[in-house]
Amino acid sequence: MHPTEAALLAFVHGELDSRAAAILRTHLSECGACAATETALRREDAEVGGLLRALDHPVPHRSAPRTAAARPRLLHPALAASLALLLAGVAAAAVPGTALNRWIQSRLEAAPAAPRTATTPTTPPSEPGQAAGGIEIPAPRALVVAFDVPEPNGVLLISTAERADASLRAYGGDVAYEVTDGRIRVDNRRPARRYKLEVPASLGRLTVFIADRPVFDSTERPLGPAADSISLAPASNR
Amino acid sequence: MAFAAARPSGAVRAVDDPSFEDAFRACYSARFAPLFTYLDRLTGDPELAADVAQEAFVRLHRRGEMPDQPAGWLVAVANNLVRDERRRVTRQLRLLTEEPSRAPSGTPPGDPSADLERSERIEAVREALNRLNLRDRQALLLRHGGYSYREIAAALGLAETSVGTTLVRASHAFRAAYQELDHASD
Repeated sequence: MHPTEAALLAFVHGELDSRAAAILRTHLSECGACAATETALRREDAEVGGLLRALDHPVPHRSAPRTAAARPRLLHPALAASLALLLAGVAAAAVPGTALNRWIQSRLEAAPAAPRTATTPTTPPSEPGQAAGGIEIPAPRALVVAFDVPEPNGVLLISTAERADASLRAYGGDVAYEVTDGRIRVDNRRPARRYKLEVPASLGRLTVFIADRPVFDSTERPLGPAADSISLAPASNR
Repeated sequence: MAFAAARPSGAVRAVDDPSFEDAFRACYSARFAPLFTYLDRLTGDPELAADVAQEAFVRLHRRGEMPDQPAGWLVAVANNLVRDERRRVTRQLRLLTEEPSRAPSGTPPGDPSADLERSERIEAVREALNRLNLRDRQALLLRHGGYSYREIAAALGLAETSVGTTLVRASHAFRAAYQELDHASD
């Protein structure tokens, strides 16, 4: 009985166990037709491998710690959207009766704006190689707060003083938050690694704290219409 | 502190197990390059391949424990990510059909005739791959990326005993398609 081409190819690939390989080797020494087939398969395998190598590009260097500890690099805005976990914040905001929805509604009916006292922006120093975490304002009236690295000791705390709407998204993981009076308190210790809080640039005041340390205050750094960003210092510096 | 948000069930797992961290790092060292190479060949887009490979490892890390077949698991995750990406209109046409954004490795600069020949060969290889059904294409690329039959079976949801048959079919079909395209261009 002659081996199948699949068995011969498995032999070529070294995928047969030692006993099966020995039996097949013996057969090949006695059967010219199978030996010819095995030779042809071996040649074809090498040829295919050579052709496929023509497609190769250099393997990029991406170290494991960076992959494990830093933010996951989003594949593409469209794919990122597909990967985005539309979290409780967004869901809650959309569902009447939830805590966040009530909070948003209360903001929409809230008190008049507090006066804004624009001063010189104070940007915390960013670390070399740090992922682009922080706050960015990609478009007028859209403020995005993004933490791209886990913050072991901190929470993201948003307080507003006038009408505000908010949405909360996390990319690639989970997030938890707590809605209190006038605040959304986001637990940033979970491994989501990337959170975004979107609120209109028209809100009266935005403050961001890591633990008890303020890292951003919109009264010191006005929320302008132009794109802007602020980096959050890594936990090791705190 | 009572966080009121509803959390997706099972989405979070502690990842502070030292043995897992060690295994993860070892897996990353051993498997990132093969995964990237497989994805690079599959998509023809090295940037997408790198991103998908990295995202697959991020998901493995988030999982918090090693699967039985890490290599196969990573490929399965990566294939799903690529599949999702293919569905995106903006990138769909780039996959396997567009010139790579960077020249493949080993391309010597400043030799137009050699570049043209190499470019035509790459085009023929891609076209020949495109003529295979997806599973055969994936199996062929995995095998020639150094994956074992067991890993290929795990990655593609095949019985291990059927991997050989799949590879024979894929290899014959690819070679025949390439030869046809190569002769047509002469």
